[in-house]
Formats: sequence, C-alpha cells, structure tokens
Amino acid sequence: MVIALFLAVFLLGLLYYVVGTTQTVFFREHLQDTADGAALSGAVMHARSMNLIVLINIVMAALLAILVTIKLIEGLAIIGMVIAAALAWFTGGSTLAAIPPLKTAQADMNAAYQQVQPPIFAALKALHAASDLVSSVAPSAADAVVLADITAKGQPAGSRGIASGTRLTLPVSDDTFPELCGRAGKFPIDLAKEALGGVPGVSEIMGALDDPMHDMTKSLSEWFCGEGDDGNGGGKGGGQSRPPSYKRDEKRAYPRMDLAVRCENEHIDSSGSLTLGAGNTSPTCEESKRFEDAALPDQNTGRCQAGHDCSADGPYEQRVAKARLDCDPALSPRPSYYLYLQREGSVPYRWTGKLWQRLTPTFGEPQRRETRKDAVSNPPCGSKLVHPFVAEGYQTTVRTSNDVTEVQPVCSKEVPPPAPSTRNRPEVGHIETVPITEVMHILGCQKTETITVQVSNGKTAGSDSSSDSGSSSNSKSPKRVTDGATLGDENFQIRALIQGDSDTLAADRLVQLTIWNQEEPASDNLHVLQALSGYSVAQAEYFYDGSAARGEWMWNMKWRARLRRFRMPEGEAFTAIQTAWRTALGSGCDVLNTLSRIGDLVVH
Amino acid sequence: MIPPSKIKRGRRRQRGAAMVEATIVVPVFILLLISVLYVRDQALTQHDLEMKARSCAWQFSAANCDAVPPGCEGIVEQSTTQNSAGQEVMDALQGGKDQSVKHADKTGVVSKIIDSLLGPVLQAAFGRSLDATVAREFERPAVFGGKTKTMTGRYHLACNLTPEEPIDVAKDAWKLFKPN
Repeated sequence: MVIALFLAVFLLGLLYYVVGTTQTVFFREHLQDTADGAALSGAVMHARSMNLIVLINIVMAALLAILVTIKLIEGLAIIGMVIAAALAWFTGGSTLAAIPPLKTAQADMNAAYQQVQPPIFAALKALHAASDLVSSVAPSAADAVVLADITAKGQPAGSRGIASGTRLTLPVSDDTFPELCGRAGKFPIDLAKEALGGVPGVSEIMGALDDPMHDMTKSLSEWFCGEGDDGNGGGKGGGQSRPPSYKRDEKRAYPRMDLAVRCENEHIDSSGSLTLGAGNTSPTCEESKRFEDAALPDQNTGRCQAGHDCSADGPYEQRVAKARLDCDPALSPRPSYYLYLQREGSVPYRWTGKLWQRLTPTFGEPQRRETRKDAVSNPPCGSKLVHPFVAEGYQTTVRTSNDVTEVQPVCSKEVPPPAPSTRNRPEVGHIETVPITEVMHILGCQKTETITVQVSNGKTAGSDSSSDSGSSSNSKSPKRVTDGATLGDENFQIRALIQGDSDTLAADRLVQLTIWNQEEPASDNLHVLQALSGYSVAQAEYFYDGSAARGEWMWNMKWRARLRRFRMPEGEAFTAIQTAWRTALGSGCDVLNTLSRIGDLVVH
Repeated sequence: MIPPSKIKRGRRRQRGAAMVEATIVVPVFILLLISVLYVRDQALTQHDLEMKARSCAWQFSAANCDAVPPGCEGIVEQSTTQNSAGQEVMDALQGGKDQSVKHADKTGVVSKIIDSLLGPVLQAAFGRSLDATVAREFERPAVFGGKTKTMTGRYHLACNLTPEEPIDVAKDAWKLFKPN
C-alpha cells in the first residue's frame, strides 16, 4: 500500500509537472510570437511610410512632367522655326510657310504653361509638406499599429509592449528641385513608351532617350520646370505655405526632472534633429543622464540602490519627491500607470478603559508594485472621486524633516478597532492588532498626453540639417534618404519588447514542487533568467529590396520589412531605445540593462 | 513465541488483501496515466496548430497578403480588424492640408490628389494585416466524458509589402489631373 501511495503521488506530480511545463512553453511561445509580430508590424509601417514618400515623390514628378511636356513641345516648335528659317535659303523661301503655324503652336504652349504652372507649383508645395508630415507621423502611426496588433493577438493574456526605432522621424531629407525636374523629364518618355508599346522598335528608342532626357531636364530645370528656388514660399504661382502641425497622443514617463526637461528643450532647439540619442551630446543631457542613473530605484526592491547617495537631498529622494508631485491623480491628464513602493504591517491598539490608544506600528519590507489595470480610473491613492484601490488621500509632501527614515506615506489604509459595546468592554491594557497598508513612495507613472508637433516647411524636423544646406533645396523638392544612413544600420532597426503577466502562470508554483521546500539554487545567471522570464524581445528592419543605386531608393516603391536576429543596440541607439522602452513600459530600461549583461548569450 | 495456529489464522486473514488494494489503486493509476497522456496529447495538438497558423501567417505576409500559400487554403485571410494608424496619418495629412494647402491650392487640384490618390492608398496600406486560424477536432478520452472538442491555433500579423511600379502610379496621377 505504501508503494502504491508513493506511485500515486509520483504520477500526480508527473501530471502537475506536464501541466506546468506545457503552460510555460506556451507562455514563452506566445510572448515571442507577439514580440516577433510587433517588431515586424513596426518595420512594415516604417516601410509603408517610406513607400508613401516614394509615391509622393513620383506624384510630384508626374505633375511636373506636365510642365516639362509643354516646354518640350514649345522647344520642338522653336527648333522647327529655326530649321525652317535655316532651310529657307536653300528652298527659296518655301519652308518659311511652316513658321507661322509653328509660332502659333509655340505661343499656345507658352500660354498653357503660364496657365498650369501656378496650380502645379501649389500642388508640389502641398505634396512636399505632406511628405514632411508622413516622415514625422510614421513612427507614431507605427506605435498605434503595434499596439493594435498586440491587442488583436491577445496572447498571452495581459501582455503589453512596444516596438520602437532609434529615430522619431523617418531617415529622409530634402532633395533638390533640379533632381525632381530631371525625374519629371523621364515621364513623357515613359508614358510614350507605354502608349506606343506595340510599335516595333519604339521601346528601344524610348529606352535610349530615358537618361539623356533626365540629364537635359535636370540641367535645364529653370527653363523646363520654371523657377524652383523659392524658399520663402513666394515663387511663381506658389502662394503662401505655412508650416503645418499636427496633434498626436504620446505616452510620457514621469517624474520629469528639470534637468531632463532642459535637455529635451536644448535638444530640439539646437540641432533640429529629433533623433532621441542625439540629445546626449550636450553637457546638460550628460548631467541629466548621470542624475537619472543615480536616482533610478533598485529594479527588484524599488528602494535607493546600494552604493548610491541615499541622503535626504540625494538623487533618489529628489526623484521620489518629484514623482509624488508629477503623478498626483488630481492633475490632468491622470496617469494611466503607476510604479510604487508599498509596505504592509500591523498596528497594535491598547484599550485605556475609555478609548483605543494607537501604539507604534511594525512593518514588513517594502515591496515594489505596479498597477496592472488602467490606473486612470483606479489609481493606488487619490481622492474618493478617482476610486483609489489602496486608500483614499494623496500626501504630496514626502517628509517634514531631514530624517530619511521618516516618510509620510502617500496614502495609508488602517481600520482602528471598533469601539466596544458597554457589555463587551475589554480589560484595560488589552491589545488589539489591526493590519495597515501604506504606499510609501510613488516611483513613477505614465500619462497619455496630446502634444502638438510642428513640422517646418522646407528644412524639416527630422531631416539631416547638414545635408539640406544645398541652395537648390526648397519647398517643392522631393525627398531622399538622409546622408549618412546606410541600409542595415541603426536608422532602419525596430526593436520590440513585450511584457507578459507571468504572475498568472500556475507553472512556476507547479515546478516548485520538484524542489519541495528546498532553497532555490543560488546562481546569478538563474536570477538573471528569472528576471527576463516575463519578457520577450525581437528585432526587425525595413530595407530597400533592390540592387539600384542609392539615388533610386526614393523613386521605387520597393521598401519592405524583415525580421533580424536581436542585437543589443550600442551608444546613442542604446540610450534611445532605453528611453522609448522606459516611457512605454516603465520597466523597459531594467530589461535592457539585464539583457546587456548577457547580451552575448541572446540569440533570436 | 506465537503459536502456529495463530500464524495460520493471521495468514488466512490477510489472504485477498493485495487484491482489494489493487482494486482500489489500479483505477486511480489508470486515471492518472490517462490524464498525463491526455494533457500531453492536447499540448502537442495545440502546438501543431499554432505552428501551422504561424507558418501560414508568415508565408502569407511575405506575399503582401495577396496569394494564399499552398497548403494554407482556408487558414489565412486578410484581417477585418481596423486599426487607427491609417486614419491617424490621414488626419495628419488633412491637418497639414488645412493649414498649408488651402492657401496655395485655389484650383482645388491638390485636395483632389491627396484625397483621391493618397487617401485610398493610406487606408488600404496602413490597415493591412492578416489572421490565421487553424481548427482541429480533438478526441477526449472516454473517462473524461468522451466526445470531441475543437482546438484552435491563431496568429495575427501585419502584411509585408511587394514592390510596385512607379509608372502605374504616374498614370493614375495623370488621369486625376485635369487643368482648367
């Protein structure tokens, strides 16, 4: 019977083990699937946006081709008149008869040119502004698609994440107007080739004319395409074109320390580039980064990190004080996510004969917690109106003295013992203990804010200012890939981070059965792997799928996306990704730091 | 010392005990064994289904969700779930158009181009994704009520892109443009 009992327990354990392992395998698979899908979605959206800018370039060239065609006919009429006049000496003046109709044709074409040029230039300006907008909007559109994909996938339950690149705009900058004119010169040839495709030999002739036509219209762009350089928006038929702006929702992480805000302002104002990592080059940004590193709470305990300055004036204390102010649910917009430090304990009450006297409470170790649901309508602390789930109230002052150990909780929940009835009065000195829960610190929060993004009309936000210094760049120019960006480099990489709710897994508890009350093996690597078990990462890139030279990349809709092996970003790219992940998930930076410790082992 | 008669009586009393124990224990063992195998089979089937859905989804995505790959008929289809990205880009373009184009575009030609040419492209392009669904009947062991249950593997992915020719775009632009 003992053996049978042993075998039954063994089989039951085996069953639990199979269930636990299966759950874990599916959890990891789903998490990785979601990360792969998110990375690809992000890269696809960027590729689509590049193709959209290519499309806008082509539409601009097609519109300008109307002017080129008219000028071409006008030019042919002029050449015809010159030839007719030259031949008159040999033909006794008979070819002079051809000059009046050619003159009429030339005059008609000139009139037509004057008529259609203003609307075409207006269209070019609008399309140029449109491509600026696409370049600026694409990353946030990609974020929206990635979030929609993660939601649509819905596996594993409760997962959330982000797929982001290292840039806030697409890697494109303004090309020159003569280049657009040159491209427009090829369109009459292409269209003629299309129309006369059935006639033998026409394709070959037209094919041979392609490049000469491009070169001729490019070098004679002023004659064919009119005045291109009207950087002030006042060219022929141009009309005024104001810099457009648009609004978008952005998730921002708090607290925002003054140094970080100053760094961000300097970063946008001075360079004009919105590449995240670029901001770290200024002394303010360097100082801000040092402060952020020193103030960052311990990723496991949420408390001031060992070895850091933990005094009352130290970075950690400054950070939690600012977090408390920034994350107040009474402010608008309300935070949608909270990271906080909570401690639980008990409070003894002594019966004095008349009332309960509160004695000194005892607390356990504070725990780092985060909100799982949308905190907008359910924060941990706040007034009754916001339905707090820990306790009512929100104390904005951290402490009244310089003693670090004396913390005024953000909110506290404690129910004193009820006043006893006259019959059941306890003896004097009787001690009654009640539980107490305190939110000690707000470590950070996330808010969804609507920001207005201004797009300059010419030298665009997000374009490489150094590469746009050419005098031919103007408000009617097409786009090209930014100088210095090469296929496969960090400009084109999208990295995804997905966080799953591993607490919902029964697997962990089930697998614990195998060690049956024993201590877990002490191993640093095991600890690192456990920290990463709730996360998945993936990397994808968008690229030009063709062998054409760099100059053709923005004239062919061949941008596609593909998955790549995950590689840790370096330098500025690391900072950019860290910032994006921290903003989106709060804990993304911890994952990236942990990953960087075992970066060589990550192969995906 | 125990008298032989008592030993004999004791043996007689234990006779059949093993049979009784076996009668109790063996069904429990069988039930547990069937449970282990059931969980294993269910996990393997689920894994197979998800592998199939994943494989078909990636192949279909690589073809820009145009051609259904062989062996994936009835499994993959373009997603009907709308996302807000296309609308977000379109709104941004409209916002930009309101501010910059209105002043320059007295003829209305630009609005026509943005709305007619880029609009459908945006809506089609930015909302394209796919769903792969594989379903299979799975037999439950008789001890768990028998019958079959339907297991499903699902996958959701964005459609990738295929190259498009500029001349087709140019022809569309020419068709739309009619100077006054």
